[in-house]
Amino acid sequence: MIAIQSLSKLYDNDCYGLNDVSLAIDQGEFVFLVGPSGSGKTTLFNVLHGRERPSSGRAQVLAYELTRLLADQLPVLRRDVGMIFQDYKLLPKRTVYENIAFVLQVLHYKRRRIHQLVHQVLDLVGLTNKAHDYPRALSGGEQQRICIARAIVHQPRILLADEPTGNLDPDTAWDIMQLLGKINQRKTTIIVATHDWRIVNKMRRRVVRLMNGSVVSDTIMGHYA
Amino acid sequence: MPSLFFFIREAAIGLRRSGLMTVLSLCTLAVSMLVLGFFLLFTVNVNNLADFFVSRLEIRVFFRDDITRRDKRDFHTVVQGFDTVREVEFVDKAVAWETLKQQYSGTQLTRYIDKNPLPDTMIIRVTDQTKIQAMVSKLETYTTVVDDIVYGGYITERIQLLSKWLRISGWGFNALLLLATLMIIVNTIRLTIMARHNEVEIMQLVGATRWFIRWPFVIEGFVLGVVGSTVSVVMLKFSYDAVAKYIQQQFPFMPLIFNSPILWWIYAGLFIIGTVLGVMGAYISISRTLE
Repeated sequence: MIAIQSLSKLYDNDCYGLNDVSLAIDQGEFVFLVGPSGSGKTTLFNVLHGRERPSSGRAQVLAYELTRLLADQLPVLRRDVGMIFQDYKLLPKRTVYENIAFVLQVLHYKRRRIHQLVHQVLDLVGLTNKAHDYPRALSGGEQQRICIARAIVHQPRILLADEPTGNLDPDTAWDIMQLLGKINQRKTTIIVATHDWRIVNKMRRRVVRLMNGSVVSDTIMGHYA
Repeated sequence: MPSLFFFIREAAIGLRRSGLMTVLSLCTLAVSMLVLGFFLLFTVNVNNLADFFVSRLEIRVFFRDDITRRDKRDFHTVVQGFDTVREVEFVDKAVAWETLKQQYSGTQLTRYIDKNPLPDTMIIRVTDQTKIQAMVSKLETYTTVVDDIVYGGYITERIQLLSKWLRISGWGFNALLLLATLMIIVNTIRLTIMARHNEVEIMQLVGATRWFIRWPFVIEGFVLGVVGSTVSVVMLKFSYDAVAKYIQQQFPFMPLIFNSPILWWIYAGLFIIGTVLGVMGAYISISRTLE
């Protein structure tokens, strides 16, 4: 599903964002990407989401070779790779329903189908009663749930979560991780970049540790000290 | 591909939700088009004024005293032979003298000039003022008939040159103004789009194609263009009519353009230019943002 070989990302200031990274992730896996700030987690996500082009190496995501990705393939890739952001990136002038429905409109779903899917996903994240609220009226945890709902409503095969619990208290963070675990049970591949060692150690999933742009460890049912 | 209705609805939502920026963009577009329209009207009026003066240029041929009526008739036939001649008027020297005496009836003109000093005169008006010089050169060769020719030679050339430069500089200035208007509109709409940068970014992140993102903004640009240029055309028409009427009352000899089809062409042109600039502005702005 994701096959990365000797991938490097060299910036203009001669700093490596990624340095000779090799990694393979199968369908339905749940992977934690850990490491200190500047270790390359966000760069790797940016490459996998087509926001940055790698300098060398190979990165295959589903049917797309990211080093040779054409401009018109990028939107199609992103429909298969959902993204959850630490800062939520919700549209403040649209309601919760509209924020989620927006993705389906982009994908040309019919109105009736949109209505059905949005309610299903709101039910999954437990926010059916907030459908007509605006994001500013929601708590941080609720906004992150909406962000997750938006990322999964069109059932992407891969979900990237960049510090999804970074702004949340421990209880809410744990709720969010439980939710991601539930989504993973539907065979969605999930990669979570995090600093939160408590969650990593509690979940006991595969842990890939990055340091200075390189993979320093990759353990199944790993932990993060 | 979603229906056009979807994009129109998205555009309407966009305009409504960024209300203040929409109003500011509309005002900027309307004022820019108003300034452009004002200078267009100014240019056509200046050109009209120049044409008015040039069209009044005429050739006056003074006949020799010793020629016969038949010589004058033959010369008249020669003059009529020029394809640029619009009108030929013969002024008999006796009639001219009587007219002059009437004009200066309160003076002692006849006390000092007892004999008619005026020659028979032919006044020639032409269709193409630029050919005056060439025509005069040909008429001057008829030395057996012609005593003198007056056509305001130097002044004619100056007025024609002035008219030419007014025309070129007027349209050149309007072209520059059009470019400036486009830049103002592009940057105003760009500000509107930058205010919705998050929206564009999220659209990209969830897999929207470039055209899916562009369409609502282009439709918004179209609406801004239509409304803004309509406002500017209405304001321009009423203010021009009022100002032109006032100038006409104060300076009746000024040949201003009134109720002419050219005015309607300008108003229609401004409407189309405003609409096109709105669409172009939105397209350029959103494309730059997407880059």
